[in-house]
Amino acid sequence: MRLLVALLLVALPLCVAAQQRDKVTGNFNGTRFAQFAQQVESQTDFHFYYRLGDVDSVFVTVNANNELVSKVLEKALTGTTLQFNIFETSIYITKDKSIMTSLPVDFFNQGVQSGQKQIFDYSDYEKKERQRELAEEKLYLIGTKTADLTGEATLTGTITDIKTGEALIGASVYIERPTIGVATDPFGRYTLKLPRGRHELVIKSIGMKVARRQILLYNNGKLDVELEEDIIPLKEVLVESERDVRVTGMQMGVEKLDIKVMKNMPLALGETDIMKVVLTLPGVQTVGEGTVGLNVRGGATSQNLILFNDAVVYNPSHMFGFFSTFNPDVMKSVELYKSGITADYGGRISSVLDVHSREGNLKKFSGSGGISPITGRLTLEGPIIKEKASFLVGMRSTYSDWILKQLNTDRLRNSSASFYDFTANLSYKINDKNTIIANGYLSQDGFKLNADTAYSYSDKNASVKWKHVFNPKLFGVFTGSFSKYNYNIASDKNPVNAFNMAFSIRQANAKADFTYFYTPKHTITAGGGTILYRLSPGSFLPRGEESLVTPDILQNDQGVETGVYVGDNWDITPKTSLYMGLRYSIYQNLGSKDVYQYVNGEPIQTGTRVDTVRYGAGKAVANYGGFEPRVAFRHILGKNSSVKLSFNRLRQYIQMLSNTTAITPTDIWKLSDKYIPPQIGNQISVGYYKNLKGNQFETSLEVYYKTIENAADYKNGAVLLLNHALETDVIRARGKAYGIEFLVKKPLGKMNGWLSYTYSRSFLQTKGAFESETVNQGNWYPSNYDKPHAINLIWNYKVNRRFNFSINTVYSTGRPITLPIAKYEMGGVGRVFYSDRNQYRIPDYFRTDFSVNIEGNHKIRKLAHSSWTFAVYNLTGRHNAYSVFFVSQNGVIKGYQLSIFAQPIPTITYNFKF
Amino acid sequence: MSITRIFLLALVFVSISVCPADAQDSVLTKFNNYRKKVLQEKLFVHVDREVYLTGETMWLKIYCVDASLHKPNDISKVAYVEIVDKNNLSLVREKIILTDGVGSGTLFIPASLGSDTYLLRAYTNWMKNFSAESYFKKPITVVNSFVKLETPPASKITPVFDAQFFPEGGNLLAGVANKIGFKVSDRNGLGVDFTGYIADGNNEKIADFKPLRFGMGSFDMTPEKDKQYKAVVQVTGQSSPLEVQLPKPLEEGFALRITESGATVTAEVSFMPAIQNGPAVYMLAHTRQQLAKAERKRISGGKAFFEMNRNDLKDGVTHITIFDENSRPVAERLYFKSPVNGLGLTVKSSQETYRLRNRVTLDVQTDRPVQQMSVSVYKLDSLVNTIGETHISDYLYLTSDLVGLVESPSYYFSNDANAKAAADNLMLTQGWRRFSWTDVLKSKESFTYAPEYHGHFIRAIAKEINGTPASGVLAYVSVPGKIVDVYSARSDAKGEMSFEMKHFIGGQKVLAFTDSAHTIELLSPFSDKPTTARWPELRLSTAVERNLIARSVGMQVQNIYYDAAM
Repeated sequence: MRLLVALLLVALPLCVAAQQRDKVTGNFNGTRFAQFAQQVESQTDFHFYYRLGDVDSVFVTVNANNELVSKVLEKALTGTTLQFNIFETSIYITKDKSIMTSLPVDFFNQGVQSGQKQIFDYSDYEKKERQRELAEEKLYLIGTKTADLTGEATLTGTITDIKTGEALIGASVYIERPTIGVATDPFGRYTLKLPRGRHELVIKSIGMKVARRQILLYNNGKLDVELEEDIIPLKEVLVESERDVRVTGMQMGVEKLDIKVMKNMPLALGETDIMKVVLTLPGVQTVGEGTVGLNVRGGATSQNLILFNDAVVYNPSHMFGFFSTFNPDVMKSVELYKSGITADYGGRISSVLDVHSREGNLKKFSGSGGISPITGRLTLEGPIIKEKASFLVGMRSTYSDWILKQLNTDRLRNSSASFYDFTANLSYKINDKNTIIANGYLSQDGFKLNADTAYSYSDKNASVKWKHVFNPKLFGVFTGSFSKYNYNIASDKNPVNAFNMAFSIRQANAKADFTYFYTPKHTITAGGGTILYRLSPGSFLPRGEESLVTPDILQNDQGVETGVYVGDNWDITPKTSLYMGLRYSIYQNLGSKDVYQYVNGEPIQTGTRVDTVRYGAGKAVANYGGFEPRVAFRHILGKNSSVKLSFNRLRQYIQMLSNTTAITPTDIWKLSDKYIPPQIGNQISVGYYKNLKGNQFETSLEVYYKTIENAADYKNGAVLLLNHALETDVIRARGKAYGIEFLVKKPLGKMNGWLSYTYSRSFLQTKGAFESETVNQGNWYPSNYDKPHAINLIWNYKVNRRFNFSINTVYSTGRPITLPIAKYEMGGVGRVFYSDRNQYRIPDYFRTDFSVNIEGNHKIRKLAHSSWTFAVYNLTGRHNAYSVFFVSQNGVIKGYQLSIFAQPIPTITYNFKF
Repeated sequence: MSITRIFLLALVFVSISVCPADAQDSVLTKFNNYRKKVLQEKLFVHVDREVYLTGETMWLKIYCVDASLHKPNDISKVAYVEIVDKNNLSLVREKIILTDGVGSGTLFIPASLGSDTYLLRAYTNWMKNFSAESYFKKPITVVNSFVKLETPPASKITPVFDAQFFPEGGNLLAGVANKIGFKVSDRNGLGVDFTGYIADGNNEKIADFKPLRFGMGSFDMTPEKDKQYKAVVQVTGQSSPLEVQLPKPLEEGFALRITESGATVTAEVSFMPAIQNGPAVYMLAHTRQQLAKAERKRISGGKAFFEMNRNDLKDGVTHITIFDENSRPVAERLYFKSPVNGLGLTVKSSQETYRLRNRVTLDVQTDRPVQQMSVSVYKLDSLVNTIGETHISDYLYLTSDLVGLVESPSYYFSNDANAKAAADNLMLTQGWRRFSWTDVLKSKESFTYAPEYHGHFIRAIAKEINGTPASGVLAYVSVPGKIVDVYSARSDAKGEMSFEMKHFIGGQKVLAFTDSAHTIELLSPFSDKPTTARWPELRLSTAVERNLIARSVGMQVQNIYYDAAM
């Protein structure tokens, strides 16, 4: 006979003595806990329960004089991880966990109101370890059980981070057969309409382990999924999570880079520079080394919309462009839209560079930083209200001034160069429906060459963003931002002509964007925004008492740009998607302002000026506007390939006037006015994408053709600074650009990187009604940044978790220049005859960089994690030409080539994180 | 034993395809064929208590018996246990190994369950071939002491009642004295107290009635043809009465009435029109498919009488069915015989009272030798189940052969004076029963689920890439570990296949793979048949608060101190 005796309930002493003895008296000094418990038991009616292992290293030091047991215990257990729980006459000593000795408030649901709220974490009882492990294999039954599995049902839920509890935004939730998927909204929620029945749900999110859930969908129901952080592959995380996005994603011509990827690349001056990384992408070029401006698909540097947390940045460069102003420690990601720009963006015709900073850590205080020979940086972050509000501040500065002082060349010792930047972010998650994020950004530069003229410029911006979920299908983002860019040139070497020159541009921006998940097939976006510009185009003022400089102040220029848009992302079939967007933008150039009038039918020049008309404050000087259609189409061909097509038109109402090819601090920005119409860009592009070997390799081929109307160009010998009648020197050009971009990328693995080849051309044509407004007899000529062939190779090799090296190789055709081709004498004076514009090229560009990253051990409990980076820029030491110029010396014209980094430049950086 | 086993298996697998070529093709032949071919299993699950707190562990022992003989049944080796909620969602699932028809295991009740009543159900793979009503089921109460109750207090729920009337034998026949059983229950299916009467079309009172026990009772009436009767029921404590139309009396047809006098049980068959030379009728009585009596008689003067000796009937529920000349069942009635010979179980403890941590010794005595036994010890507190406990004998003899849940089944086995009459009322008011003549007469021959005789089957379905089932696909299942077991199977016409696993115990990972042109999907071994049973909702009075806290603390202490052991 076998006997099974089932569970015996833990015997609980329920007897309560009429007069409870509950006071303790005694001096305990380093008493063993067991002894202490015995003494308390002898003086009172209480009985102790504990696990020997929990208390054997606990010694009690407490003095009690007829005190309540609970008070004595409280004192006795301070500083230990032990907790005491008193229930009737039992005292349970537990480690870490506590015991709930009462029922929750209003347990019987009789509507008893009570101010106090009981919070007891019972999650241990909810999911035992064993059950969590099986989560992936378990079949989740969703909805009320039914035998009829025809038709569809809706599955909703929230995707959160298992560690932080943070909602994961943009996580993709999908089934593979048939392909139905959706991305989570700003609150981590998803809604999927699926055929009833059995599915495997796949959940992917950046930096998280891919999760799968077996579901049997009977009816509408809910499934929340917690994702675990993907810790093991330290750096490939991002790319992994978006492995097939390149093929299946809707967008084309969009490059998304995560800071983790960028930090692996070798770069000059020992600091991760997002602008330099962007330059290694196909279709992105620069005019020269050590400059920041980007030329995207044959566009000018000023035609890129650079957004930092939704606020415009005018000059993203520090120190002649050797550094970009984005502090790598606070960056999260960069997205570059070369084509396929959606309707929510507007204002620049060539590309959009959308830079986002991180939000502060919601759980604990932490920081990171780095030290290199030129710069130092420090970032601090942490919670303000745990799990709800956080802050992040990043600072960076240079000590190049100190280095310059150490040099023994007088000219250099008397020079100075300094910069700093500051980024701050505050985020506050009010509740599930509302989140507010505020950002601030400040970048300041100053330099002085040989103790003469002091240049300084600064870029400031601030933005506030409110995300609000109206209902699970509709959410909105409201953004207000303010940007200011100004520069200042001052000289006081010679007190007689000491001067102060200043320029500034301010813009205030308000916009609202809405996303509406109309049906699983249609996602509608709509919104609008207004930008108010105010420019002070220049002032030239005497500096100091003795200065004899005549003050000259250019009148202010202002304008307002408004755009509204609507777009629909339509999944026609699981394989075919169409995006249709339409933006309407309208611009007004406003007074108060004096506008010169010129003789009709005559060239616009000083000689033909006839009148000045004054426009009052707020009066429209000029109106422009029009529709900007945006269309994108994607069709998935097979499992791993797709074709995409896009068309977009954009309008730009503010232009940069510069007679250099890169962005420099002294560039002038000019709003469209009566004589300078807005630029219009059209682009059509076609791409083919294929992933090979199980998504190990991504390949793409993109072809584009682009036209630009009203690009700004200049008459020969134009004066741009402090020009009261800029229209007399600026002429309109037409542009066209076309090219083909080829990319092979291996995003994952021990060895990863990419190889790109681009063939692209970019031309301008300036054909005015008058000879003075025509360049090259009205023929097409290459633009300054026309570099037909470009090859980039990024190659990373990870030897082990702590050691990796990478190589970056760049080749491109030299950029065009205009050369003096003949010398002649006229009236006894030697003159130079220049070629047609941009008919010659400087030598081809080639450079290889190398870097090694060494990390310390990866022990989790460490005060700070640190890493060392050794990098060599221009490993081969090639003398790449930045420019070629000619100087007439003693009547002889001599040609010079300027190289910026003609030597291998080694750097060493120390980075830390805590 | 092993010979029986093989014999039974042979019956299941081999003779399934044998077509009954009996010339007579009588009801009896078909009945005998079905009885031989279709093995019926019954599971009984003894759980350690009726009310659980989330965080507690349910300890259980499973008995698998032959449904007819109530002997341990060593066919199935795996029992499936589930806790399902009122939406038929399975929230806790476990597979438990059966050895010689007996298994034991535990279920952890997670705090993700809210306070409510749930249904514990258990079945074997073989039982999945039959209605979900044949599964073992038992309502259990779960209280989540960490979160407040979701349901409003009972006083705030508007009561709903249901009145049902069942003419004996199934038909109300005009011109004959009919016995009519009735049951009036609340929304939980529990019987209520009431008074009622029958009225004809002119609102004239014909008969009064009131329940005997559990809202059930019976009354006699002789309906006239072309009249429509209704029943008016006044539930005690309710303001407005319920009205229910009785079925229209038949002018022609059969009626069945069971009467008892002494040890003789008489089945009286009435036939209208009451002609002198009526048709022949056939009576078949069986207790759990064990034949009690089969007899043929001709109706004369509208009546035919079949007599049985009560002592010849087996204990439990007997089906008495009347067939017409064409072997069609025309009337049926259940009859209950309470077991005379119980186990005579007595339990004695060594002391009357114990002090803390004293050893408790129990003496268990039975009249007959016992092979298997389970004992659960728990504290008697006010936390009790609303439906009452279920004992193994109640289940095997009574409730397992009836539909739905029976309120306080133990009562029918008691010595109460009214127990016999109450049991007869219960028999009168039953709809579904385990045994169904439609299955017998249509000679159901194929079964989807084979009994798990050697071990657990992993079932899978092979599919083409486009998702349609693929037949003839070879697939493998393996269990990674120190010794890798690999099993292979080929999919049938429906794309399905089974892998019979050996030593497949504990939580293990399984890899399933097939050729690259197909996909393979593992099927859940748990039954997807929803249960139709209703069970009482949670009723928790504020008076239990103290007991509840004590239980909750006990549960937490157990989990905290013995975490590693569980």
